[in-house]
Amino acid sequence: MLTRLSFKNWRSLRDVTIDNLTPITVFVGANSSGKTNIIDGLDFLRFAFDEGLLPAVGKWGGQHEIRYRRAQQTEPIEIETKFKEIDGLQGPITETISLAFPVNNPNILLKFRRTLLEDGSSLIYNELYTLPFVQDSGRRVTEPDLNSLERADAISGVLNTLLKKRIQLISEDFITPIRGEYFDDPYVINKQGSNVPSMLYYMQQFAPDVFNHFQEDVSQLLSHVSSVTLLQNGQEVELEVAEPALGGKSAPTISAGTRRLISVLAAYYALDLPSPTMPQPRKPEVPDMRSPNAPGLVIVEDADIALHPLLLGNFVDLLRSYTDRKEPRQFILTTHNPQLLNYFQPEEIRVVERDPETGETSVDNVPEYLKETWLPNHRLGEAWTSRLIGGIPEV
Amino acid sequence: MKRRNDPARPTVWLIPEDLTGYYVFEAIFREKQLNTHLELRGRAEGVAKLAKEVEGLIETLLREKSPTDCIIILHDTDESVQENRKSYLEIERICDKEKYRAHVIRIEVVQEIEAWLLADTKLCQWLEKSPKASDHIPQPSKVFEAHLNKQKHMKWNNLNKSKVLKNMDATGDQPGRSQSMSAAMQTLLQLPCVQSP
Repeated sequence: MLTRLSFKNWRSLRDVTIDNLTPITVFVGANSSGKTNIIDGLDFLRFAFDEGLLPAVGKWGGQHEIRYRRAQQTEPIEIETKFKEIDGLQGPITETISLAFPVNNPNILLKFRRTLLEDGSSLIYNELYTLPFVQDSGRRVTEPDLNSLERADAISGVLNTLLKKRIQLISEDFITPIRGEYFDDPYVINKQGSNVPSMLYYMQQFAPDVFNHFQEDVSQLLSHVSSVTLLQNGQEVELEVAEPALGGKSAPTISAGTRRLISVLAAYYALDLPSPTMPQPRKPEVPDMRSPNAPGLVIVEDADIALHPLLLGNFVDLLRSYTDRKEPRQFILTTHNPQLLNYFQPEEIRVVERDPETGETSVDNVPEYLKETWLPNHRLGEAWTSRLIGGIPEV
Repeated sequence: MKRRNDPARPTVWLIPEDLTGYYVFEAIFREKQLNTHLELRGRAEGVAKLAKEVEGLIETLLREKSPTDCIIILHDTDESVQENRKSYLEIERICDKEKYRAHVIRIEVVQEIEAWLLADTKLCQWLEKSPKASDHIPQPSKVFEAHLNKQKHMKWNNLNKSKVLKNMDATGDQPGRSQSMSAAMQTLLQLPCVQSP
């Protein structure tokens, strides 16, 4: 489980540590408070491990776009994650990626620090690399592969796969198309959601048990849906939703809310797909992080977009049932909806605020004393709209 | 909740009936140069909601506030228009509780707070009218809104209130103007958390 996220000079996150993440953690805050920057930090890390660090810096617009605007150029950008309770790893593991962009030097200095706490002792891997920075020249450069940075294969096999393949991220501007490419990645949802039809098609064809669970949950949450079907048509896969009101026939259109919910559940159930390395993992000594038993993290920005308020309680109950199972599953949500907050406990909420003078984002816990002062007679969402926990727009 | 302000200066935690009260106090603090932070708490969506949440707000703020801070509950009396006094009496009952007396000040505005605006020199000048004592008017908000609409073609809504009240110089407490504002100012300026320049 991801238990800590820490950022230094990453976009608006000057120096932020978010500790004690729970199985479901909800970030709330005003518009432009920095919620997306938190999620984006994880996405950056995931992309860097998958595609390389330089492509990641490039994709995010270069050093000036990823660095906190008031930071000096010499100040490194750091993203730290801490995972614990992962099969195959003895203790919690903390990793820090630190990027420095020296002045008048075309290179990027990459520091990679991975700390494994095992039986009370610390094994620390510290590595320093210099990456030649290439500006739009089209030259191919050799950069160290993040996947080979550390010496411990077991740790590498577990954590790197976890970052690359076990984090599902659904961004706020995401809308699932009804048609998708047949050959898209069936395991990891892409931020635009364009591969949801192919994910579900793969699930329907090769993991019918998983698909049935998915389908049951969709119908349980959305009573207007009796079944979801994926049809292959040449290189395309088409998503169809049957409705009882239409005598079980396919609906001519699928609403944005229905599509989004289908996508959230597809992302979650894709974590249950049989590992592509099964039945024989390449390195038997390394736990197979692609198996359904491996941890999975689903991140959903604006989780309640286009979802009816009366469905929110059932939606949260469903997520809780997902985090209660023996295979470790975790959710990180963001929201602007106080009604969604009503279904959570104060310790599950993180409040994101931005200083209007410095542009610096801070992340705070909800005060514990609300349980005594406010929650006996009011709901948590009302504490937000009554300006008791922060994360509100300026008046 | 993070407080961005200088922790050395005390804070007035204002729980108003609506946002008009907050904007008016913001203008008063600005114009009278009170060396105190002003922080808004509560939904500020009417007296009925205020009555329902005021005790929870006070209880929470008592945990959050510094010893030098104070809590102000601000609402109109609405006597001419509101026959049902249940919410007003409930707010009074809660604020008068022994355990809150040392920390909570309730300011009641006679009729409506717009009477303070109709007595304000600069705001009335901006509206091209003379400032007048208006505490006796049953619904000063209607009168104020009519002037605003006629002179500036603006509606008296939350979107415009902050902008309109930038024209306020907080002089409605002058002799012969709003007695209600004058009494409120006396209460406010006597509070230990409010330090005049």
